[in-house]
Amino acid sequence: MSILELRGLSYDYKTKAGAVHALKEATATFEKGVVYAIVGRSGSGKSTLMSLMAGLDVPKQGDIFYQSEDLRSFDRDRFRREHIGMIFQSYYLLPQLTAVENVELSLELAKYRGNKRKRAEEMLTLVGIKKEQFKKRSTQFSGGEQQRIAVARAIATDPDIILADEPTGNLDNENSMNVVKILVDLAHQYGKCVIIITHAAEVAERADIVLKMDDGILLTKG
Amino acid sequence: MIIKYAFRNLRRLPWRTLLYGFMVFFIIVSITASLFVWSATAKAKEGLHENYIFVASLVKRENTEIPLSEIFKCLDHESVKAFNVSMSEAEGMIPSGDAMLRMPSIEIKGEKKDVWVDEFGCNLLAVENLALTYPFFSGECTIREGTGLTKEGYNGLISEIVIPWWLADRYDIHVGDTVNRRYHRSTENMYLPCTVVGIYESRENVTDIRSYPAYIPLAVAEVDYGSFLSRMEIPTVERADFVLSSRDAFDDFVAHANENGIDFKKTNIVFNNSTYDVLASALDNIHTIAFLVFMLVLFIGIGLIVFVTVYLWKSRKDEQNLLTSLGMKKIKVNLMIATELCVIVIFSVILGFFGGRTAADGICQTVNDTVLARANASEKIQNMQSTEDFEITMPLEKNIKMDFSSKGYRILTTDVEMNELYTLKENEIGVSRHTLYIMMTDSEADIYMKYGKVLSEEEQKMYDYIFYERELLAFDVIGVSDLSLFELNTIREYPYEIVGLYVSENSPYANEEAIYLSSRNRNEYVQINNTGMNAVLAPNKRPPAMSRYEIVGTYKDNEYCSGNDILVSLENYHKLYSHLSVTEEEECFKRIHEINLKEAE
Repeated sequence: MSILELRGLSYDYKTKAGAVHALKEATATFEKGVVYAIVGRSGSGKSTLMSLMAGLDVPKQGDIFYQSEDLRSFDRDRFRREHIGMIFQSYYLLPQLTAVENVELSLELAKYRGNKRKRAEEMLTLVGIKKEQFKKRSTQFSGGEQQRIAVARAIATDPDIILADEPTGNLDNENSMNVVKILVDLAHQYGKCVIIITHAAEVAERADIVLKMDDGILLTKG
Repeated sequence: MIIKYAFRNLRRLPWRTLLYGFMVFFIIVSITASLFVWSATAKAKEGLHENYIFVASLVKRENTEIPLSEIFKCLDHESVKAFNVSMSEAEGMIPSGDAMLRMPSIEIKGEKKDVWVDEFGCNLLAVENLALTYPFFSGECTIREGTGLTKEGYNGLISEIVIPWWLADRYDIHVGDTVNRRYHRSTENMYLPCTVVGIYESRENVTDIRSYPAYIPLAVAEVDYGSFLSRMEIPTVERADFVLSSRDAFDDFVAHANENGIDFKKTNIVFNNSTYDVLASALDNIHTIAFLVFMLVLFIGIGLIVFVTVYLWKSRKDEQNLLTSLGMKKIKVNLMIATELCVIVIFSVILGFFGGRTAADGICQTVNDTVLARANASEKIQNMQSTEDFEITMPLEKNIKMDFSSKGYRILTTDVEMNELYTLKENEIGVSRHTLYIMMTDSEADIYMKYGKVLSEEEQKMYDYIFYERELLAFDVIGVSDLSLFELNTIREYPYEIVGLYVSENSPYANEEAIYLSSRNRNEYVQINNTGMNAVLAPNKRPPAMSRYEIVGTYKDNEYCSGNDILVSLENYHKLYSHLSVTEEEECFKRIHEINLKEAE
């Protein structure tokens, strides 16, 4: 059974130049334990697709189903808190918080009932952050480390789906591969549905399924 | 959660937010400080205006004189709050000393009393306003016991006196005692009782105690020393000091004085405005600067706060996006950031307010120590010459010192509690009333002349009737500023020199040519014993002094005058009271404050 299904998804918005059709009847199915890569040139609609899948925005046409249930029936903020983990190109760690606090933040928002600090530390350990670094401010970490902290934050609430928007965009090759490895492991070892939006061919190569976006149209590549 | 996150973020303020707080703090400090300084200078100027004693002094030039009547005309200017003229009564004095003269004994309740007088005495000065005399406002003399002359005294309702310390010590006189003033009237001495309301002393090292006189109210002196004043063609004064309500009133007052006959070829006018002008100008400058700073900081500051707030808000877009992506509702994210900014703004505003207030006090103190101190010590004030014309009011200028802060102002000035005047206002007519007694008519005077030498029993009865029974019929003489306000008729031409009267058309005297007016004339003697001076009144039954006055017209009764009232022009009124009367509490001179309103048309 698919965990996330897109049916005829369309999205457009208006600019001064006129209406932009960012997404045209996109249809796809995503399953647990699989790494998906969505590739395409800039402006092809990848980010729009991601924000619709994350419930940050609502499609103009079409439906999104989470475990066969229409996303419209969900509280979208709650949906994100409980079922989605997001990773961004710029990490988006809060500079005023330490590494462990950044991870704890997502647990607090998701109203995690267990020991939040312990869970956060476990997640950081899982992504390779050393214990003595837990209480360092996020700005004191390297780019690769920051992205790993961001990954820890994304998976802390144990979401089914991990959406990563250009997670290696700001990283060197070595760090990129480390982060991709973590993401692949999350899918293959922990059964997460990992969807990576990327330009990088070497990242796409690591995915199980590659989807291509072209001018708002979603194509299955293989 | 919003509050928790907001305060967690505040605990780890990023430098941008910290700078924002400092910016708000400094803007609020500037706004508050300029506002407090602006307000403080306004209050200080208002306080200076209220506390400053503006004195316009009319001083006679050499070989000239200022008629008293002209001085009185200046009083009806609306800005005149109080005034003072001082007139020495050369022949008046308080008997005292060792060389006592025995007077005829008098009998009181069947008991004979010895009466003594003394050649050694204390000079008398009649003043309109004791506090405005030089020794008192300069601080040289202060009241040691009791008070100064009271309102009732100034208005002539009570015969009061303030005596010097040396006289009080010499005869063990205390406040509340009665002493007797003596003056020479015609061919005899008059002794007039008055109550000691105050004893003053000098702070100076005194060598000539006799130069410190006793003070009596001018209103009483004008009546009592009528015969003295009447020996002069027109009573004159050397100077008169008018306390004006404001700085701006001066020019109008001068114009008014000019219109009312003050000849500025013969009279100097001095106004003690220099210190006020210097201080007010300094305060004005600070006030204006503070206002400009306030407006500038207000507009620029508020603009800056809005701009930086928007910038800060936008700079946290990433944080907003992240929190939204983590499932936090957008409104909560916005509320969290708004809470953070509000806390910073409130904290900065509170600190800024107190900081501004402290800064305002610092600015005020600096202004006090520099601008105002320089203003006080300015060349303009320090170079004021102690000329004869000026020296009388100079202490009122030179002794002014002021400082101010955001809490208020302090003005150190000579403490002068003036007797304020009730001056005439537009559509008011009456000036003052003085109770006199109609003694006889011309026809009755003929009888007096006829029987003046040897009187039969019947003639004696007539004499007694004229002088003692009719004496009890009191008439109010009303001096008015403008007779045209009354409905007058049967006006006869009369020489200007004589005093012309108007009686009610319903009066029994309406058809008379003239009447003889008098006050009750009572000689009173003083008894001096070893412990002090006690007044013993001794009515002397002799015909009272009287004078003939022409009836030049009649008036129609109205609600302000009728029957026993006699109208007289203000000029004649002064002549009249200078000819007659002796102070007694029941028939005293009533001053200008008694106003009769013009009848509504």
